[in-house]
Amino acid sequence: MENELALVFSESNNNTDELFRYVYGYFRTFFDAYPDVNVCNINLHAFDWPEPLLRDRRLTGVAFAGTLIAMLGHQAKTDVKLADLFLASPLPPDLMDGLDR
Amino acid sequence: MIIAQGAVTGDPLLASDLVLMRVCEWRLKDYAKYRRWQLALDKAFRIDQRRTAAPLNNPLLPEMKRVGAEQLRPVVTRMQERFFKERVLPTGKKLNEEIVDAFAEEACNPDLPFLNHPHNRELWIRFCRRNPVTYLHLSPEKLFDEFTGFVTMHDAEYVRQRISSLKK
Repeated sequence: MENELALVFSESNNNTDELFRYVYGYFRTFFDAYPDVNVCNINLHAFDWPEPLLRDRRLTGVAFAGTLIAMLGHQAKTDVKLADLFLASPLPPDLMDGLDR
Repeated sequence: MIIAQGAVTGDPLLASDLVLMRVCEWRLKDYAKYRRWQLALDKAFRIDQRRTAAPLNNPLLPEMKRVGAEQLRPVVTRMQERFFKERVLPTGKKLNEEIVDAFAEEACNPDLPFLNHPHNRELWIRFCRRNPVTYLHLSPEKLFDEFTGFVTMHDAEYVRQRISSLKK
């Protein structure tokens, strides 16, 4: 059975910005399949993260951050590519407050 | 998002520099958020330590049940065929061990990530040890409800009802 998160991880070649973008993209697509659902209650441990990613705290953290920003994008119902926005500059205050909550 | 996730995923969220930086900022400038973060972590801790029941509000539970039951179906069939006679005969400690061993063997199959995931596999084996023979009689869907009930500390029927209500 194909592990899609393992594919996402391998495509990033251990580049943290790429990993962040890919994880964000994967989860935006995944969450978009559930447009009316509050995705904040999804346990990040429930996903089938690849072992090499879980063994590296830095990469795990980047993947979690990508997932959180994807959750934020889903909840804010924005079409803006938040991953790129986030990497380029601080988030606007309203989005930052949504991220905190 | 971060505080809500803190109550679900707990401390491992701090692996993220993003989360760590936000928490450090709250610590210095926003006591209300910092306090909510601490309470969220405490909730996750109590759930992980099985001191309190886990909320059944994961919106993906219906999908998890569908996929989980799909993966459990061939396992249940194989187990029921293998232990066909034992389902109607008196049971013993040795038989229970055999059933748990057979289930552990099934859970090693990498094609069944719901069982094979390291975290889940350990939970499944602990669950199976509780009442191996009884579980042989259950349908994959019912087995999923029983397992989820075991993990979240809820009654299986309540789990079934909650998952059903999340579908709507």
